[in-house]
Amino acid sequence: MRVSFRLLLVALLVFCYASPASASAVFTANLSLGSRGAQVILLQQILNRDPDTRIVSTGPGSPGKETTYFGPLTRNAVIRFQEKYVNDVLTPVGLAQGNGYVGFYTRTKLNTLSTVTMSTENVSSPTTTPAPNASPASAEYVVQENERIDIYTGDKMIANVQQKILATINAAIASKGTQIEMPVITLADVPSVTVGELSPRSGVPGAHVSIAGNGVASNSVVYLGSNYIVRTVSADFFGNFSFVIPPIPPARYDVMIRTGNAVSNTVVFVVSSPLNPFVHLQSVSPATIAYGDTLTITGSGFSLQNNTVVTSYQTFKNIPSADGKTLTIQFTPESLQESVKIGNGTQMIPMSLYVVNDYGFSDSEKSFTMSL
Amino acid sequence: MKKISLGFLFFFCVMVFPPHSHAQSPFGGLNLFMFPCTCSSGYTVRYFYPLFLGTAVPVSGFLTMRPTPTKFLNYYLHPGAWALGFYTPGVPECQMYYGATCGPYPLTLGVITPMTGTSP
Repeated sequence: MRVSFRLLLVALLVFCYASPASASAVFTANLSLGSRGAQVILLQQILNRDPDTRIVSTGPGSPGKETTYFGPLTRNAVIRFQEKYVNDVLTPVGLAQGNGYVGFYTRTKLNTLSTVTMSTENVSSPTTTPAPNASPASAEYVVQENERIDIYTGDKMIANVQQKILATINAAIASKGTQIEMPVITLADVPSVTVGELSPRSGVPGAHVSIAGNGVASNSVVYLGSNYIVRTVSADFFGNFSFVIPPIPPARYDVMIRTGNAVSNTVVFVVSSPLNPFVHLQSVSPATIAYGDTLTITGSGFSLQNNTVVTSYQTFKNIPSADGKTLTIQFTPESLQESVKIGNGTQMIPMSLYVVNDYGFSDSEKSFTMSL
Repeated sequence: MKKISLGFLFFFCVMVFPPHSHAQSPFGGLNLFMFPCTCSSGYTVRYFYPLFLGTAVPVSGFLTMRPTPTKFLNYYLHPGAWALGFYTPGVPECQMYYGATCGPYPLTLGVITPMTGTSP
């Protein structure tokens, strides 16, 4: 009885999750080699869901990096799609081989598939990366060509400033504290829009998210990765801004806020799914490491690829976990590169780390110490 | 616009809630960088810019932060976050290792008072 209830609950969650995507047809126009636009992204997302029709495994067009351009790789994937569903797509028009043209019957099949629920792979194999393209987003939330920008522009500005600051610190240390030189930084060097944090840091589509930041205004727009956008932010009585998570595929997103032409730094938000496994940190070893040592993190809920390990002085991206339970990183923070040269091994720097991936943020932070 | 608001908020705090200790002064600013004080375990030095220290004209500079609970190391005043609170000017608490000896890091303007919060 208890098992039946759980099955019913899971079925209900799956049904609820799938419902928004089944509301309407996604593909309304024919597509072919050379086509551009939001529907091409959606097309690529659906093709990438199936290993048989995946466009490419890495680079532009690969899962999570879908583009607005219908190129030769997309055409080849469409051909494989048409031949996989030959009875639904090709037979009605008297064809035996795919031609890469997304016409009425191909669109009909794509629309049918776009309403299919999330793959049950995530239930049976929690270490599998959740299909980031499990259900295509409404075109309303897809970044248009004229809105496409480098969402990491603000991050790069801050990184440049940090290099200048680090140079002055290193100079002070190298001169034993006698060379006192302040970094020269102007307002033009830092983003005029900054995001400190989002609260909560993860949630399902429909969740309200508060923005703690500077330079956010009623005309700001929120980018979730390079492909999705929320064009409406709302302010409460106190002037605090928030936005609503749109119906986009569950995954980890770098969130950037643009006000006019000003681009903020990015912060991470995870669009979660009820089917995601829990990201749990169990241990970090060894407890004390030296510069360049390897740190082993154990736990559960790590994805096969794309885990991010955030430590106090270094962030590691795209860390794989073959078993879903172990992550290893080699600790070489650039900011401590000069300090470690003069260190004698007795100076202990307390640090901590957490993990974030397509499933969510880890349930805790773990501490460790670095000796210089 | 928000920077101006922060400036006003800063003066509001000074006017309405004057520091209860003469040693403390209000500050507000954008935290851009964090570096460990290599001879003061758990201490970090933070670089702020723009940094408001009693005038509406922003400056820039380093402030020392005392050890915080480990669970907040990554979230508390991380680079990219605005901070608003009080600091004690002129206290050289950040000690750096200079090869053979430890000594104060000369560029810090003071020590941030615990419970400094991030600005929305």
